[in-house]
Amino acid sequence: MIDSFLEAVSNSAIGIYIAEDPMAFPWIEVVHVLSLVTVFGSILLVDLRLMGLASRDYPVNALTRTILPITWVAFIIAAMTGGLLFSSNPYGYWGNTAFKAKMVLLLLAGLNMAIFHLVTQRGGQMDRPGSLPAGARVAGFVSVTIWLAIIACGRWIGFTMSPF
Amino acid sequence: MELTGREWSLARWHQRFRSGTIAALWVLLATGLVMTLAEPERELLNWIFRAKMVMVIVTLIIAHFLSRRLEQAKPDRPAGGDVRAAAFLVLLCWIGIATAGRWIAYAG
Repeated sequence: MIDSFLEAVSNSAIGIYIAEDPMAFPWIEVVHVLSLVTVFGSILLVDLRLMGLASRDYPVNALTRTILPITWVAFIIAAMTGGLLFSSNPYGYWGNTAFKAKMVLLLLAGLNMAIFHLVTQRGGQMDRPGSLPAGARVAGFVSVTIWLAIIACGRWIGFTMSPF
Repeated sequence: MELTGREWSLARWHQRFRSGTIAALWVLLATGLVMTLAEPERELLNWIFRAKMVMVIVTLIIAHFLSRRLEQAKPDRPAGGDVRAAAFLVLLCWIGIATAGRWIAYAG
């Protein structure tokens, strides 16, 4: 099943275009990097607040309301451009350990975020300045650790395979 | 640009990020120097690298004046048009710097 998926992506018009056009891959990668930087920078703001290391007088609910829309827009752009980059060499990416690690870490980041929003944040005590419950501090630490690893894996893909 | 984070004043945001931004700039400078020393010809002979360095200098000058303007800002006053324009310009410059940084690997 995975082979037919990879073959279909590899033979798609967009995949062939990105693999063959000398400008397409670099420009898509630029947008991917810029959007990923925005995702990490905006999440870091929230994570540092959750851990109680910065912005302690900014209530978490207000901070997430103002920051997370930016994070989501940037994440959607990063996912779309990431998919386009993948389409240029699906077999190469699928066989790359750093790529697989990055995908697993993205899933873990999503799981951590879901637990925080659905359990910890709904548990209350988020609309006040100062220290937060242990669950929130752990969620912030796990999030920043996973996102640093995602960036490291993303950079490592570039060192361990040619783009197309 | 006053597009987000209105619970805090501009002065408060400036105070919050000033030291972190300066620390990150020093890390960028140190790691950039190491990478340039490792492959000086690849970097110094690349016109995109040179353009990036010019953009970095211009951006830091604009950001410095923006920072001084924010230090003098009254906490309860909204940003003036000049501050929003300078912030937009600095954002555009950093996007240009990041774009040039990525393109060094492909062209020059």
